[in-house]
Amino acid sequence: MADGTRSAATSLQGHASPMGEAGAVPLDHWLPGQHGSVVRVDRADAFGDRLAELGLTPGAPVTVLRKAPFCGPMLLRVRQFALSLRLGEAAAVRVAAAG
Amino acid sequence: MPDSSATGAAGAHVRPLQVALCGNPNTGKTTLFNQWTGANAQVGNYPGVTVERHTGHRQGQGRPWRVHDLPGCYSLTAHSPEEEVAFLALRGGPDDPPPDVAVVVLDATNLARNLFLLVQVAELGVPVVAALNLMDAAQAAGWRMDIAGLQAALGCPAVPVVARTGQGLAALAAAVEAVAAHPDLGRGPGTAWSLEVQTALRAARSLDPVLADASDGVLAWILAAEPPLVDRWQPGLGARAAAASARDPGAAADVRRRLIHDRYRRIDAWVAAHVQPPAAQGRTASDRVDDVMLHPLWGTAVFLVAMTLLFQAVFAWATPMADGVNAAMGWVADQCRDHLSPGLGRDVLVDGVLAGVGGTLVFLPQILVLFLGIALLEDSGYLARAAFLVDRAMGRAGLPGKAFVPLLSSYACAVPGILATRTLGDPRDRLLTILIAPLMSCSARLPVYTMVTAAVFADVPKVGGVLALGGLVVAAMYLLSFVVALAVGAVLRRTLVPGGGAPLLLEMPPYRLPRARNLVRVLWDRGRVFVVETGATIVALSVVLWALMTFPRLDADGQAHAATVARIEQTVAAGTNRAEALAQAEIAAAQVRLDHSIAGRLGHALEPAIAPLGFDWRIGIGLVGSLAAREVLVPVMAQIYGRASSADVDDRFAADVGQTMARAGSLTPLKGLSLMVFFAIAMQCLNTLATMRRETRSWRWPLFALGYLNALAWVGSFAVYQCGSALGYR
Repeated sequence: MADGTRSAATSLQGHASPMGEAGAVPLDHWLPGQHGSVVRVDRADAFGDRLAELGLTPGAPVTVLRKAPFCGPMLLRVRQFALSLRLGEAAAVRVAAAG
Repeated sequence: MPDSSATGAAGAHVRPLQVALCGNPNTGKTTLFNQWTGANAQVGNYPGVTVERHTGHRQGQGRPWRVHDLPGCYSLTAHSPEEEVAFLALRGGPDDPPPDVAVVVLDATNLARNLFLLVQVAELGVPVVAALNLMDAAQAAGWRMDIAGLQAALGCPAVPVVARTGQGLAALAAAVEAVAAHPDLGRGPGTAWSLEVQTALRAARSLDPVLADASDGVLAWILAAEPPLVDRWQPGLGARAAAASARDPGAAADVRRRLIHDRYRRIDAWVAAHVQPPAAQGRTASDRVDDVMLHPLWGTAVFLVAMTLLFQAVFAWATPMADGVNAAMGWVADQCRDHLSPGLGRDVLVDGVLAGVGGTLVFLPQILVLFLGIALLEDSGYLARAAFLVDRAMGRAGLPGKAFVPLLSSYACAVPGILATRTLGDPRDRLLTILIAPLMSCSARLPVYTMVTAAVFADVPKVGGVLALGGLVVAAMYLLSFVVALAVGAVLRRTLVPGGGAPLLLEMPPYRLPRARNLVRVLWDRGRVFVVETGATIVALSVVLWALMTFPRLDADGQAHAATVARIEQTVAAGTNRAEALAQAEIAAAQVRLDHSIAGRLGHALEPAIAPLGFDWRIGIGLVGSLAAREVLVPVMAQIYGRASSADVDDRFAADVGQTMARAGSLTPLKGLSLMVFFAIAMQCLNTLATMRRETRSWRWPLFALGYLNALAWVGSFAVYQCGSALGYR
C-alpha cells in the first residue's frame, strides 16, 4: 500500500478536479457513512477507464455504504447506483470529503 | 438468413426493420425484448465468442421488425466480449447490416450512467431512441423528469416506459417507426469535445487516410477502443492507431480519460437541467434489506441457507425427474429391442444413439433446476450480494466470488456447473472455473466409492468405535479433490490463465421481483441449447464408445456361444433351469465379447501403465468404459467378472460387484484406496468434455483438462499405491 507506487502509476493529474490535490485520500481509507466526491482515478489502464465510464469522474458524488468483513470488498454509492470494489482496486480512486 | 433476402421484387420480400436493443445490465432490456417479440425469438451465438445472440420478430406498421437484443454493457470500448459484440452489431458488417434504429434502454432511476452508453451509441452514427424504463420505480422514489427538455438535449425521442407491464411500449414503437422513417429525428446529441480532445482528433486525422474520413464520434471510439477490436472492424487500423498512440502513451491515456470526462460533463448538465431528484434522498428499501443480507453474521447465515437450498435442489430434488427420464429412456430402449430385428443396426441405435440421447436428457432436470435457482438469484438481485460476501474467501483461490455457485453445483454434477459459469463476466475467470469444475466431487463418483468401501473397508473395526472407516475415506476423497482444485487453480492462474483475476466492479442492482416470463425464457433457451448442441456431441461420443466396447466381433466367439446355447437346449429340460443356464451363457458370452473388443484390448494394453497404481487389465477395461460416466465402472466390472449386469447402479449392486472384485484379488484396501484417489481426480466423463467443448467453443480446453487431470490422477494413485506398498500395506 505504498503511496509512492500509486502516484507513480498516474499520468492523469492534468485534469484533476478544481479542488486540487488538497484533501484527496484513497477511497479505501474511508469508513461506511463517509461521503464526498471523486478527485481523480489514479490508474491509466483499462481498469481506470472502466471506473471512469461507470461514473467515477472528477466531481462525481461517492458514499461508502458498507465494507465486507475481513478486508473484503467495499460497497459504494456512485452517482445513483451501488457499486462494489475490492479494497486494493478502490485505493486507485482519490476522493475528497464533502463540506 | 432473412436479412440477405431483403431486396426482392416489390411485395415479394419486404426488408424487415432492423432494431437493436442496447442498454446497461439490469435495465430491464430483456423484459422489453420479451414483451416485443413474445415467442418469436431465437437464441444463438455470436461467432468466436461465447456471448449469446438473441433475435426476434415483431410485426410493425407496414413491415416486420427484426429485433436484436444486444448483450448488456456499460460502454462500447470493448473491455469485455459483451461490449465487443454490442459494438460490432451496432456498426454492422458485411453479413449483418447495421441496425436502422437503436433503442437504448435506460434505467430512469440511474440516468447519468445509463446516458453514457446512449451518447456512445449516437456517436457511432446509429439513429437512437431512448426508452426511459422503470419509470414506475422512478416516480415512486420521487424522481421528476422534464421529458420534453431531455428529448431536446438528447436529440432523440425519449419515451417513458414500464417494460414489466407493457406501459408506454406502443409509444416507444411509434417513436422507433418515426426515427426509421426520418433518421434525423434520432441523430442524438452530437459531440462537443474539449480542446484537448479536439487537438487529439485533429492529430489522429493527419496520421491516416482512413481516420481522416471518420466522423468525430467514430474517431473518438477508435482512440479509446482496444486495438484488436479496431482491427476486427477495419483490418490493420488498430495496429496503426496503437502505433500512433505508442509514441506518447501518457498522452494517449490522457485523451482516453478525457473523452469519458467530456461525455459525463454534458450528461451531468442535462441531468441537472431536466431531472429533479427526490427531495429527501434517504436510504432506499434495497439499502434496508442489505442491512440484513450483507450483515457479517445474518448475511452469512442467509447465504448458507440459500446455497444449501440450491445445492439440495440440484443434488436431490432433481433426482426423481432424472429417474423418470431414465425410466422413459429404458422403456424406449426395450421397445426398440422388442420390435426391431436383432443385429448391429439395432445395437448401434439402442446402445449407442439412444444411450447418448438418454445420457443427454438425464442432465436436463439438474440443469433446469440449477438455472431456475440461478435465474431467481440473479433476477432478484441476490447473486450480486452473494458474490460480494464470498469474494474475499474465493479470492484466496484466485477466483471471483461469482465462481462460488458454479463450483458448488459441480458437487452435484460438473455439466450444469460448467453451464453455470455463464454468470461470470470475465472470460479468463470463466475458463479457470470451467477447468477446475470437474475436480469437484460429483455424485457419479459415489457409486464407485460405495463399490470400493463396501468391499474392502466394511469389515474394518470402527475408528474410535464410532466412525466407519469407509465413511472417513470417502470424506477424505472430497477433501482431496477440493485441495487439488485449489492448488490447480493457483497454478493455472500463474501459467495458462494469467492475470490477477478481473477486478470486482460489481453493480449491486436494487432488489426486484423476478418475472415468470423471463424465467421461462431462460430455462427454455438453456435447455434447448444444451439438448441440441451439447447433446449432439454426447451422442457422437456415446456411439464411439459403444463401438469400442463392441468391435471387433469375432466369429469364433459367436459360434462358441451358439454351440453353448445349442448344448443347453439339448441337455437341460425346458423350464427355470434352462432359462437360468441360458442367462448364465449370455453373461459368459458378454464377458468374452468385451474382453475381445477394442476396449478390452485397450484394457490389456493399459495394464503396464496402470500396474504401478495397483490396477490390473480388468480395471483398465473399466476405466475405458467409465468414460461414458464414472458410475458405469460398476456395470462394466460386473460384466468383466461374469456377473449379471444392470444399468441401474444401486448401493447393493455396487457393493456386490466390489466384493466380487475383492474375492478375485483385484481389490485390496490399498488398491481400493488407489482406485478411489484416481476417480477423485481423473477426468473420465465424456459428457463433461462435450459440455466444455460447447462452452469454450473449441476442443483445446477439454483435451487439456483430459490430459492434466488424468496425469494428476495417475501421480496421485501412484503415490498412494507405491508408498502404501513400501510401508507394507496391501
